[in-house]
Amino acid sequence: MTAGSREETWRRLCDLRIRLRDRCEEALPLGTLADELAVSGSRFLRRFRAVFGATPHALQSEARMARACALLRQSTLPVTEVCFEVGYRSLGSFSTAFSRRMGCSPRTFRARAGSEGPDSPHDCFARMG
Amino acid sequence: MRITLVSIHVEDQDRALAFYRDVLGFVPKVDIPMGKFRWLTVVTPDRPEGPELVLEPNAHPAARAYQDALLRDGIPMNSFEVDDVDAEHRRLRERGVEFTRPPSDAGPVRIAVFADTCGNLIQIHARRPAG
Repeated sequence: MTAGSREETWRRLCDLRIRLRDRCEEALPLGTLADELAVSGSRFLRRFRAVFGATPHALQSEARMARACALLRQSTLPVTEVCFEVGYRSLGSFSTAFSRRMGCSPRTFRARAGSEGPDSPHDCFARMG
Repeated sequence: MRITLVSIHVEDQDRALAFYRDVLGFVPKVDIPMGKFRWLTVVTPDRPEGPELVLEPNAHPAARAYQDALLRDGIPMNSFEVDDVDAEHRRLRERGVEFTRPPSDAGPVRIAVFADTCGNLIQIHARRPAG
């Protein structure tokens, strides 16, 4: 393998991670990607996990939940629409996944959202004094 | 004026703590809940009063864009000093850490680069004996 293609493989791995985060509502493109990179699926998953700390599926779910939280907090979209917006096809599987991660239902989360703390620890610097 | 805090953006603070503490071996110093994030720092084991590394959420889109671009181009976000780059490389490889650059000489230092599982590449370096 040439240095050029090694760099290209690395970039594609990074691009997949970015895509799972920024276009989390899309279906996982894993088979295609492992094929493109000409590695076996399990080898690809092992490397992805070593670089990013979790499986593509776990990182996609994480991104979907983060986006769902933002939509529940900042928009008035009905919960069903939030569910579709972040890529789930059924409200049941969305609610189950959401409750498992956030410890409450999407509806309860939205109701409590008013009492949220700072969004960034940059705000924490200000509070340290 | 003194430098006592150095920060690095991380995608997920739980994952960051697991990596920086359990894999790299740094020691948690401050952990204060701040809304949905934490003020979270680690220090060098034998220098608890030394500089703290702040594991800071990359919540701002610009922080993510910055991380993405450096990672994609293979550029490390920071470099930690070690006694023996090759020994650290072996130790971390055994723990499943992915290196993008194996130990190699670069002028006055020997270096290696690995992924920190939080969206960054980290370099380790050791000064090479003079002469």
